[in-house]
Amino acid sequence: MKKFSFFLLTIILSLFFTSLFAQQSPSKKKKVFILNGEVKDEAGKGVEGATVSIEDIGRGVVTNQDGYFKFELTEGVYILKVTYVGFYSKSKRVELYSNQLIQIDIVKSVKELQEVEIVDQSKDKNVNSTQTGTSRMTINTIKKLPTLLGEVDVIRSLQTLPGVTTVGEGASGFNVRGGNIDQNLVLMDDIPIFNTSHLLGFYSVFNPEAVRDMTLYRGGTPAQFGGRTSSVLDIKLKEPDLDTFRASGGIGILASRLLLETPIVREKVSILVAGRGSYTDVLFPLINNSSINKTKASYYDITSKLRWKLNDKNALFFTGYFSNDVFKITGDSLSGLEVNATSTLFKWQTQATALRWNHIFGNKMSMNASIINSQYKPIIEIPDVDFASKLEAGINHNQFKTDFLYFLNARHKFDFGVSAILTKIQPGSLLPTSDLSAINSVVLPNEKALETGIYFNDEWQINKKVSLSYGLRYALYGLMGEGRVFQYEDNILKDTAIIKGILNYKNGEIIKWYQGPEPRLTLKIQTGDDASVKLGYQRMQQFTQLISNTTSALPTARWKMSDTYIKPQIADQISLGYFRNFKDNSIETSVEFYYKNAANFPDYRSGSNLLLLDAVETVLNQGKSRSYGMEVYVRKKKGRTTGWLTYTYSRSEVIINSPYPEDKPVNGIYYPTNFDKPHVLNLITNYYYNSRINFSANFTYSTGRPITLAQDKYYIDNIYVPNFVNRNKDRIPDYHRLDLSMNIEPNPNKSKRFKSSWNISIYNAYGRRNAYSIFSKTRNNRIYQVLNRAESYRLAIIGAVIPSITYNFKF
Amino acid sequence: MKNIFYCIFLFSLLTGCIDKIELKEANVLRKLIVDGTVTNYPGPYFVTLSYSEPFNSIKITELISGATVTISDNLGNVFPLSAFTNGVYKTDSASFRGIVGRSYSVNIKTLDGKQYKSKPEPILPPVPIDSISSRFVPGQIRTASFEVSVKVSDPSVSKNFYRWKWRNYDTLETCRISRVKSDAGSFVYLSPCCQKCWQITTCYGCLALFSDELSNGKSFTQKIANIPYDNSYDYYVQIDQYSISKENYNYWNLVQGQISNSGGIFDNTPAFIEGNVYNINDPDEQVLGIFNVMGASKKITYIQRTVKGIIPYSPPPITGTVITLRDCQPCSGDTRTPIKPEGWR
Repeated sequence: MKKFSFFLLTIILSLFFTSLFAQQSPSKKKKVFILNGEVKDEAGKGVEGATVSIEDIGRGVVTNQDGYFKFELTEGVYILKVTYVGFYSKSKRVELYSNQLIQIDIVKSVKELQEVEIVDQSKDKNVNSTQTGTSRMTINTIKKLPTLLGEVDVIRSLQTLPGVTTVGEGASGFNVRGGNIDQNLVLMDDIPIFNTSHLLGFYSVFNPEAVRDMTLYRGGTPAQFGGRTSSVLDIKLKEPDLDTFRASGGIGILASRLLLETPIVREKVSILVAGRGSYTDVLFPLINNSSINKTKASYYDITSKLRWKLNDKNALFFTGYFSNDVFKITGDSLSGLEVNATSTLFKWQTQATALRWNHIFGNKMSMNASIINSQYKPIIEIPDVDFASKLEAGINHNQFKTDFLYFLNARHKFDFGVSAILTKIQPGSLLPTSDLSAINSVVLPNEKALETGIYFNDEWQINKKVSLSYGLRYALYGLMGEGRVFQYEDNILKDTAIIKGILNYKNGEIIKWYQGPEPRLTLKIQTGDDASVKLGYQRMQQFTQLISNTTSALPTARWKMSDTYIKPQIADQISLGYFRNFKDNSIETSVEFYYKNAANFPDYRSGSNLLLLDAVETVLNQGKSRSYGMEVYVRKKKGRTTGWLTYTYSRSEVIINSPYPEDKPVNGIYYPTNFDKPHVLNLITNYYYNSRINFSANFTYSTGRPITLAQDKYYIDNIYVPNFVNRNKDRIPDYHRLDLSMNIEPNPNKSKRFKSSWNISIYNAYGRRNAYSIFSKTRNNRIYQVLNRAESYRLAIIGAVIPSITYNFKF
Repeated sequence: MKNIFYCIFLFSLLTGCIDKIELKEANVLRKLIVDGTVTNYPGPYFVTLSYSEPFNSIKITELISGATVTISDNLGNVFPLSAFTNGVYKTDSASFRGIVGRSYSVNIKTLDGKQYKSKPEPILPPVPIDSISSRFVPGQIRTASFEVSVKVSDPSVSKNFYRWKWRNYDTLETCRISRVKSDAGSFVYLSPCCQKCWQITTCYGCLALFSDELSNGKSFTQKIANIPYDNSYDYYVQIDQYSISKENYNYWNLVQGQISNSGGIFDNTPAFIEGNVYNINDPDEQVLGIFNVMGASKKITYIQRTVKGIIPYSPPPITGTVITLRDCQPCSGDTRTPIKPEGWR
């Protein structure tokens, strides 16, 4: 593979230099000029995110944070069209025979919320851009989808996109193109979020009130991103308004939320604060079931963002985020600790900040420099006096990065930058919390690593038909001391009881280096005005992973840095897509194929307790994963009925090739991952009834997830024990569900400042008891034992129609 | 309605909205099951050989007779076992008793010529039980009980793994009850026992395990049993405490995880549990079960069952005309014994 990367690099570099020379050749007939522009609203404020398109040549751009946009065009006459949600669209004629700076003013639409069509991308963007495997959703789209118990949810909405699956309802995180949940880089305003779940896995930690949009990269990942092998979910928060005070919020069955944004110094400094909290603690005791009414669960989160416009060229942004979860259950089955407890308390917290400086150099280059900190702290507490204890862990991510964007000319757009991450992990520290506790304290040594990345990307329009986006990211990773590395005997299972020696490393000393190039490549060939073929290749590397052997990882699962024995995961993906739009861009379609191979996919020997294990390598196998699939996407963007349909056929499998006989039950055969669901279909429709009422429906179907069922049973020591042989060979029944919702919007003709709306949702409209898992139990009381009875059960998490109503307001 | 409400609610995650389903019978190769034990207690020790059954079969377990079974120690001694009942093999208690510190393994040759052996494991030094305590748990109708716990001082010199078993003996007057329903009414015939007889009660499907991994050297309390508050006389209980190896603990801990699996996605992924018995000529053959080599200690106590203000629930009354027969029945079967239990008063 190394040779291949080098080969690619050579090709890319030679292409690059050829193109530079090509630029300088005297053969060009027409002169190229730069058209700079600024889109402003009535108040003279730059409008961010507006689409500026030149329909005749099929090109479009989106304005930056300050409302600026830029084209590189050959001389001639153009008609620019500006569109933006909540504003009337506007056209302007430009005669371009020299470099020019123009201003386009747009006017707020009176019927502000009456958008039928959500114009969030320029015309034919899906076809014209060099992006593949990328989906973008705005919060307006997300908010229209039916909800579960009234909570608009970013991650749940993600599951309507092709290539995204989960283990099941309530499972934490999401799986993209056959990857584990920890293989997704989830960024909120550039801050990596290590746990995206509230209430174990039912809701995500992002307050919909504060989110502006999200982009999911499943393939064709820009070189700017690295560190995870499956996908990048880039969530952008709203930017606080510089000149008006705004408030919005909602009251639901499970939780309520509120957002306030206000200028502090008009036109200069503004701030946004959003909070959200649940009242589930009040609901649980009402349920007449002993194991539920003792459950305690609650969460809250606070999102804030400060924007400071220093001048036309400089702006500062500060994002702060805090989230807290508490979940108490009876029993100790989930704690993963070797104690016998009557209840377990789980807590998890995220605390994150980012400071970003945006600077514009001249009219060709801009820069974003950020300092980022993200901390995640899971805690498990055992309250029983005899074993009273507290297990704390934590991951602390410190990052500095600078990204540059440089428009060389009409044909080259460069992205380049550097990033350095210092990650510290406290894998676990167990301390007794009472004098009577039998627990001894265990403190695992901290892990520390430096991950640096440098990248470069060029979006190169070779000619009218062919574009190439090529880039390279180079990652250098070093695990640093203080630390110790066990030296194991060769050819036997690693065991800390039989070691040859221990290597000790001083603070700051490098224990292990890993490094490697990550080429990214997308070739686009336009096959018609509204059709293109795209070919992509990408390599991603991952040095930080979640260690878990449960079907779905708990929020308290352990994070681990790659070390001497645990090699970084490396994934190579190739993709091929055909994109075509119909009926003047009102119907977008695409079909994409991909094949992905990942090395060093982790798997754990059964019965291993991972939480307080000093040497994780003793229970870990690193296998290979392969996933492949086809993703079909059709979207209708205009008309009374809008929506999208996705169908995905995909497989994802893992193989372990262990040299040790102890691993023979899992060795040498591809087994499906827990989230391998070959057929997935999603249909999302929105019907615009009138300016106040619209309806949404969401239908989803997927093959049941793989599961290991007991094959036979045996009787030993008065106990019937089920015997499991082939991992993930069976499947739970297929999953399908229909959700409906009705949105009642405020009357657009009333110009009251206070506006309220309602969302009425019916989740699981035909009340299917979708299997969440199938499990079998042997009967172990004396009478049943004689009959040798074993029974199988289907567990459904949601077994009924779930109606809900949410009240939203803004002023 | 209540059921619907609890199905609705999300947090059925932990108990769930559960329906019984029928799975089609799997067609699987039968596998050898070894269930044997050797301890430092006086023998005889038993080894049971049987074959596994498909998971949803309701056939009685097929026992394996005619096998040659021996137990060998690390000094080269070989102790043969003789056929006891169908599929059950027994050591000669006069010539063999396990000794702490010595390693033992079982050797099996079945009638079809296959040879199996367990990895040798030592009998670990037994750890004494300091004391037995009980605590009243009020509960609902017919579920009031006493929670019985042991207190143990864990030795700090080594890592220790524990397993407990308990049994209760109660005197039995009636060795057979037969019910006859006819037009004339229902009759209950009671046959007295021919000799003094004790009924043995234990918990089926229960596993009590503990690892000192997180509390080495500390004294700890472990819950062992729940005994019913169905009478007010003192309840005889014998608790056996076993010192087991790490491998043995891991085996039973996995068994415990799999029998208590309730389908949650935060449960560990179920997998084949490897015991310590293997086929000498074909190491790839899956052999189920385990040969337990354990250091044992025991404590016997009487649990006082009197709680002020709460009367014990009594067994359901016999309905019908009770007729005590003159013919007696023998005290036999694996849940009865005519031998006076140790420490009986």
